[in-house]
Amino acid sequence: MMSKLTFLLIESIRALFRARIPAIISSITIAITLVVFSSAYFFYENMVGFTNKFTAQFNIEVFFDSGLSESTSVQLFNDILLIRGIEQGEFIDKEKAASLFKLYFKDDIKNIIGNNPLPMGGNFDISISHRSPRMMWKITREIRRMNGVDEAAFQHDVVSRVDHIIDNLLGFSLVVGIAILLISIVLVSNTIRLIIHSKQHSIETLHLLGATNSFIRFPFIMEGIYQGLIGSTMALLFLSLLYSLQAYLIESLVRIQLVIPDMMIAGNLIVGILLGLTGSYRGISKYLK
Amino acid sequence: MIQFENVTATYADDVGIFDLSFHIEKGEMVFLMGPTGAGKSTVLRTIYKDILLNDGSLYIDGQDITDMRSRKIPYYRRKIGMIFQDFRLIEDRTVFENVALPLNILGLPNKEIKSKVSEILEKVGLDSVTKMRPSQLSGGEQQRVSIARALVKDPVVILADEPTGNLDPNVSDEILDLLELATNNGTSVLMSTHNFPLIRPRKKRYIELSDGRLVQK
Repeated sequence: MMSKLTFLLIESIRALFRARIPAIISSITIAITLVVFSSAYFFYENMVGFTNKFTAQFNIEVFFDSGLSESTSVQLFNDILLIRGIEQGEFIDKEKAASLFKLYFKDDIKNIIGNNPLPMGGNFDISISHRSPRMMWKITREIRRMNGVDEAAFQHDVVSRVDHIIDNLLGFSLVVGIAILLISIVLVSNTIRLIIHSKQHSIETLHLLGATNSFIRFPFIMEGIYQGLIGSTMALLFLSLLYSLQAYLIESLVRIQLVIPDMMIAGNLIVGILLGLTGSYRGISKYLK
Repeated sequence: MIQFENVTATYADDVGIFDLSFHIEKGEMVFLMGPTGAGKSTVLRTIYKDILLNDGSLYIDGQDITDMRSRKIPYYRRKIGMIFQDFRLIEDRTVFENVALPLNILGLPNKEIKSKVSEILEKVGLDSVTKMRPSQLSGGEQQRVSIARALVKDPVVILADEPTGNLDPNVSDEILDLLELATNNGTSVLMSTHNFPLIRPRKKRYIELSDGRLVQK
């Protein structure tokens, strides 16, 4: 058993060197697939990161009744923080409200009307999962129902428009990503199938000599895994070059810090191996029925 | 060793072999004669279970293989040596690797494989070309590699399908000598050919087929 397994493992490595050109073609196909797929994933992840940063500015402004004491206002502020979907908040006391007034209108309210009638309130940031017009409406309505709240509002038009754009972009990326993945599987398995087709004569001979299907299949599967590993290594080298180039061109021009997703290296290796394995399994199965 | 009892095996277009009965003893060398399309290859294919029987019974080495399950066929084929007109050698492997292949399939240890392969290659006179590829050899040498590959696993039966079809008369005689030598170890040999002048001097039994039916045995 051990000698058979050793033979098959050595055989699979030898087969890779014997058929160098088909192995290179197959590995390059896997590498191209991974580069395209990784680029799409890189674009998607960065876009999600960018939209999260942008939508982090979405907030709900709340104004309390003007007759509320500061301690009741703080209590109300804390109650609002407990609402599901509220990430954090900033309490606006009378002083802070006056300074905001001065910031917008360039004048001190006390100078205009003699005292400070501005109500206390708060600005509340929304958690990522609740940054949609529907969810923000829901939270706003819940806040408005609370005793002591005079008004709660958010910039509905802006949020709606941005949400619509983000939805479209993410949906498009998802469709493109799935299409790329499906095309990749077909492309890689057809390339490997063509390579296996050229070995049909050897497969028939092995059958006639009494080889079982698993004996014939094993080296091809291992070969597929090696091709996947070589392909993913090639893809990672190319992607690192591409990343350096984009960092030099894009980041210096538009000043956006692009990030490499954590799973990029492991993902490339895993997807590369799976593509090689699936391709060779599909390819060889046709000749082992 | 080989026993056909009223065997019928046909292809989709209703050609094949019909109601064949004959037997071959242990260590016997028998020729399967007949023109192209007579059913010689079909007889061999039924023995190595490449086609199924429509009717009748087939026994090899005392084992009833008539309705053998497909998953058992690879293990059964390991008892049979096969030689083909087109040699069926694997091009990207050396002579040594081609001959060693049946032993690798059997899972023998490397040391035993080396000794058996070296011994058989010496016997067929190919010990000087072990590292060459089949394409670097002449037709006769390639067929000798194919014979070495069939003999190396000590088969109970050798099936040779027109093994001299592509070879000149002198080389063909050498191939027949090698096959005859195999019978000394008790291996039965069934060889198909349509070259009667080649086998006549051997004074061996022959089975003659025509249109898939037995003419003479």
